[in-house]
Amino acid sequence: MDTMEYTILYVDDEEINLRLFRKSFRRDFNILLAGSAKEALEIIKTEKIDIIITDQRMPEMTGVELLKIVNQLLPDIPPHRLILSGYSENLDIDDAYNHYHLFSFVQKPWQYDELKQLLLNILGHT
Amino acid sequence: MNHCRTLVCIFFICQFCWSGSAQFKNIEEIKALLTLKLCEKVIWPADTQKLYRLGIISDNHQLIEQFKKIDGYNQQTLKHFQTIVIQIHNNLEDVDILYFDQKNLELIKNISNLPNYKKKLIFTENQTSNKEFMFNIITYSNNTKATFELNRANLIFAGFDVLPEIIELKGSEVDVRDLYKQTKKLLLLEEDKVNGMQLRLDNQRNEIEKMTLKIVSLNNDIFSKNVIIEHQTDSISRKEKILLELKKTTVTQESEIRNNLSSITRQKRYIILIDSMIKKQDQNVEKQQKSLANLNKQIKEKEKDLAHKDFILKEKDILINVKNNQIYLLATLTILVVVVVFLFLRAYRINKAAKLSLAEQKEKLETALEHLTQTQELLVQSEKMVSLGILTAGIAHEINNPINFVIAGINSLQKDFEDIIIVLTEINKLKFDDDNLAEEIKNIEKLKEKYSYKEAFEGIYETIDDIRLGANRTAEIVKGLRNFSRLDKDERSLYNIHEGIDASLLLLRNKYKLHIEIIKNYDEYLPDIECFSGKLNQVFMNIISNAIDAIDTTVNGKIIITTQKIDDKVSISIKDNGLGMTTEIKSKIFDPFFTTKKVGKGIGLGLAITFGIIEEHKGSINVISEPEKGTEFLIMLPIA
Repeated sequence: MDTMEYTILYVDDEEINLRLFRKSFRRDFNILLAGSAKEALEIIKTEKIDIIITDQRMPEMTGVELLKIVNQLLPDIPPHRLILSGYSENLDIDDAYNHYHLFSFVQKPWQYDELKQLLLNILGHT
Repeated sequence: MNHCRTLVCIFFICQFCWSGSAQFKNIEEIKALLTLKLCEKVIWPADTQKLYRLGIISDNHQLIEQFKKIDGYNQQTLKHFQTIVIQIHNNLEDVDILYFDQKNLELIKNISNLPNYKKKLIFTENQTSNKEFMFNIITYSNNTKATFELNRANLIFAGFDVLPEIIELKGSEVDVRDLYKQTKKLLLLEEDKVNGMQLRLDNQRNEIEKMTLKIVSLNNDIFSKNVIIEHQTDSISRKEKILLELKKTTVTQESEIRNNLSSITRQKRYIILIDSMIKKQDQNVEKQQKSLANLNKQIKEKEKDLAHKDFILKEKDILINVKNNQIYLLATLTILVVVVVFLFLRAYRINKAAKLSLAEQKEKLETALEHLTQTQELLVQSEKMVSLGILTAGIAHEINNPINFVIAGINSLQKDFEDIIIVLTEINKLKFDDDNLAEEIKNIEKLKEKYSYKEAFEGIYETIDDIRLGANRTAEIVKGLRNFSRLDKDERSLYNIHEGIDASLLLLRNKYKLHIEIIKNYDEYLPDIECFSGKLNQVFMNIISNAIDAIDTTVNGKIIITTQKIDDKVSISIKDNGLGMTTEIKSKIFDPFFTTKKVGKGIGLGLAITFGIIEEHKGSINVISEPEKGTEFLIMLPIA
């Protein structure tokens, strides 16, 4: 299956980050962007998303909190479809690993090749 | 009445005048002969019999005689007549013809009641009042002549008829119409009478009804009163029963009372007995009381003896005590002496030892002091390290983002460029004298689509801006760091307070950006001051860091930084709306190693060092804080 069929939702409060993510991955996947957890939830309700990548530190709702709500909305989400990105792992995200189907934590700044490989792994391609 | 009943049919009465001849001698003869003649003209109903008896109702003997003369066989009619004198009670069965004398006309009524009356031929004499006859002989001309009246209706009604030749006798017929009118009048009269009687009947019936109703009501009254009477008799009987019962109960009660009386008399006797017993006992009691009194006297005497003896004992006790005291005194004195001697000896020895230990301690203290100063330096160092740690953490956080812009931007740029290159190379291959230029251009267009040439082209400018932004931010952070790292400079230099505060803010940005608002009230004309720049940076870093820590992450935090020039000093106020402090904590915050943070989160040296730095600069630092109302640090520094 063509990787362009997959939809990835990227959530970050920094506009430049959003732009750059899309520019980097627009040739590989269908990219949807959300500038806040609220926007992300709206998109999740209406679109079919294959992977969610969310920044950890956002105003109003952190990435972990967003993942918690996503789990509530889509209880039968396939495992390992969620990624958190940030500057440092901390205790908060243990919960996310255990209960909210968090697959991986990606350190910023991310490397294009590494991240692409990770995404392909998740989606079942090598 | 009889007349009314029988008058259903019309009476035809003809009146005939018989103008007879005057050849006869007396009127009676005329009458008799006329009667005979008339009978001859009558058609009898059952004309079988031959004997016709004529009943004459009269007292007139001459008339009777004359009639008897005509008895016998009549050749004209072939009938045999016979005259009989009638009294009222005679049986009329025997006669066929009745002749009522003028004086006996009323008797018609009597006779007409009788049953077999109708079949008889009726002759009357000078009947004027009514027409109840068949033939009426009328005498006139002073009783010398006679004629007759014929009532045809009666005749025919009785079953007779007359021969037409009767006209020869020249009588007259009763006018039926008159008769009808008369009888009708009579009828009406009778009817009126009847109606009157009917009315009276009705009235009487009404009265009877009323009476019956009254009777009925009276009956009802009687009935109800009877019922009442019954009830009352019932109640009376019941009351009688009750009376009987009461009587019975009174009888039983009387017997009870009698019983009670007898028992009372018994008890009286019993009481009297007991009384006597009691009196006896009283006497006993008196005796015993007397003996008791005697005993008491004896006891008192003995008590007196005892008291006397007590007194003697006490005196002896006192003597003993005095002697005891004397002994104690002696003992204590001796002990004291011993102790004093002992103490002197001991003191001497201790003195000696003390001198030795003092020297030792002095040595120890000196080493300890050295040790402490070393530790203090270490700690200060580690506090610096902590600050540095904060610093580096801050730097790492801050630089990460712009670096990401650069890296991601470069990546994006590279890819966009690669895409564009593909298209450009194709374009470069074109030569203006190619044959299928148009087709080749079309191909290039397709290629552009495939590689999203337009998007890439536009994206490049944007990406370049983003990269530039990232790079600039990084440079700023580094500059801020450089400002900050002037920690170890030993010489004073001119220092811009605002720049210093901003540098700290920048480095702490990550810690506060999500939930704290920084409000800066900077005085534009604030002069730079001469100071140890690095150290002042550290001061601001410490205080702002503490303010951030004091604010709960769930609250909308505010930090207000106000700078002012006041006379020859500058004032810097850093105010937060965090937890605040109690007076107790406030008094200790500048103490070394005092911290309200958990183990591992802080050593407690930050404010101590701050205090030291401020003192070094000859400034002052004050704290205003209340629990739950936030904290304000007010720093005053001399400008020069």
